[in-house]
Amino acid sequence: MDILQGVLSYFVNPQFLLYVFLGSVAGLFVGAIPGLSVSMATALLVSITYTWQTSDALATIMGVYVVGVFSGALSAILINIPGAPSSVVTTLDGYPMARRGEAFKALKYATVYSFVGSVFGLLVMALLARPITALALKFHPMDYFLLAFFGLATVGGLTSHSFVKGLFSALIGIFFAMIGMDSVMGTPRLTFGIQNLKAGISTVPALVGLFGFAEVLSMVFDGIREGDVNEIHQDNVPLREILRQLPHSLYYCLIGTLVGALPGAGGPVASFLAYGQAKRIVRHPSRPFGDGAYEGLVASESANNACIGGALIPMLTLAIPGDAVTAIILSVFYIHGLQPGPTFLRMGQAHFCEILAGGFVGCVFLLLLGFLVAPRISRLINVPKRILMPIVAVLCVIGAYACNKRLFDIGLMILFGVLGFVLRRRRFSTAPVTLGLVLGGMMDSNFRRAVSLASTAESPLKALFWRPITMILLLLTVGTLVTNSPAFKRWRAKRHPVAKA
Amino acid sequence: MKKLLRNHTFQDGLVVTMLALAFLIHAIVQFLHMSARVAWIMSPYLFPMILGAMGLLLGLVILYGGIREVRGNTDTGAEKACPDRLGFLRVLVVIALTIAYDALLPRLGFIPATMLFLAVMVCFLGERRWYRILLIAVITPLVLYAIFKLGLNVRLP
Repeated sequence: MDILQGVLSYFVNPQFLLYVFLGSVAGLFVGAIPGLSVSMATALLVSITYTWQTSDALATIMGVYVVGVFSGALSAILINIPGAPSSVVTTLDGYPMARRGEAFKALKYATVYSFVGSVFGLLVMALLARPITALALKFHPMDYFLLAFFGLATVGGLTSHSFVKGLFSALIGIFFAMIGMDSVMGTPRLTFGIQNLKAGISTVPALVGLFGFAEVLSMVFDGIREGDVNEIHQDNVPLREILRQLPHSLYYCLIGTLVGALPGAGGPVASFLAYGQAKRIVRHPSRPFGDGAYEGLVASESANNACIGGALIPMLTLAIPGDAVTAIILSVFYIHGLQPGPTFLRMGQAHFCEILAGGFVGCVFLLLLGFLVAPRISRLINVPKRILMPIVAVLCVIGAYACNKRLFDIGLMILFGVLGFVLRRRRFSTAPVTLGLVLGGMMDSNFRRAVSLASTAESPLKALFWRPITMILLLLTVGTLVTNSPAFKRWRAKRHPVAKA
Repeated sequence: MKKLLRNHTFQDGLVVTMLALAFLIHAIVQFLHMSARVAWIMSPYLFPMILGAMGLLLGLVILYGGIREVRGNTDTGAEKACPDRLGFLRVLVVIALTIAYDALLPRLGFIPATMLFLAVMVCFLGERRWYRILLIAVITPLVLYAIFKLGLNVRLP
């Protein structure tokens, strides 16, 4: 009840509404323009909002997050290029609809079901945060270590072409998190004599490089290509007709929220899973799937937006981010001196309400901007990349510098940009690097604390693992590692050759 | 052997293994160096050592995957494609321009350095109309300065 009151109080706070609105407008453009991503915008925002009040920073970032995930659908529908990775599935039916002259109808479906998905995910988050927090209070240091390890193993398996490469990406992130002064002994570690590295690798330049500058380099490498924008005819599409898909949509939302809550899985996986389910449960689609069936569009948009609330659950209650954007939001928390985790709901309930309120207000702006502005910005989506990319490079430089005011950080940003570009070219995913970078410090300190506590016990192994939560987490982690290993996949393919085919 | 060295997975495995091995050796040397002063459990190099060992294991698995691909003739086809030398050249130029921009920032200041950087970059990426290049190079830094410095109070380089 107190959370509900807290959330509602922000709905009448003009300053809060203004910041969410600004974030939502930024999210609309950033998500819609291919080459600009929500992760990139959030990473840049971290450096801009560094000196702001926490509530203003969270309001802006939630606006960008909620509307940015939705607006990836605009370019997916209009030019067949997903504005965000989570909108890849939207292109399958959204673009064929636009080719048939139904771009406006597709945009309306995308807007309504992105709204439904976002609200569903945030409601689940509001309801589940407390029970998960109660469970998390029973966690020991080893449990935190295993949970973070499980998250990295999952993200490695789901986001990479190869599981082993995904795991290695996570190790790269952890390696960078190790650099700097050791938190336990206070001695420099892995600094290789470089004075500037003693303070550690700042997450902001690293994230700006991995998501922003790497994107610029990838675009430049692939050659600057522009897309053709489909015309939008504003036909009358009755809301009653759109809402007919609501019962199915709730099922896709549930898939999205659950997948979002898995560390690292995120929107692309959720929308693919929901699309697969839509193909299974919708017996008579309006058109064949992949040929402009709005049922496919509903599945993709409901699921990828429901991921938002899902991804925030482990981030707030366990300090384990669900995807790249929540990993960046986690760094906002740390920058503002907040400590997410089991005690967050008790100690920082006001900030929990700010996040929820920012999300819900963002949903309202999503609906307004989606109906009123989205159909009118089709021309902007086609900003020539040869103009957009140099401006993005300048924004990356500003973002990297703004947080610590060190030119060294611009160099770091360039280095991480090159790293991100090379990893992408060699089909290593960059999402595990982000998670490793954010979680590395926590994994290290919890691992050493757990080993140190166990070393004084009679049976160290028993002290480390002999608890129900630890055993479950250990089984989950080992299970993920084994079932994703190439040897296990080969063994399964031999046993079920038909399933593989 | 030539076929093996041309395989992308094998190449990746080789790089990953070498990096992980170098890191593991560094972590072990530092761990031993610290062990005289600190209990092994509290050593700052305990976790990096485990990390290096895991990296080495993953590198060997990738290497083995490459060998299997070549033996079973299941190359993904990526290695058959001609490497895009022009693309890499473009990327190198952009990196060099950004490093030069970073170096020029403290000498020229944000607005002049950004004007120069944008003019060269936009021109390099294919814009040929001089008035467009001029407009973008002049207006963008001024707008960014107004938004970030005056509007958002963000310190610029």
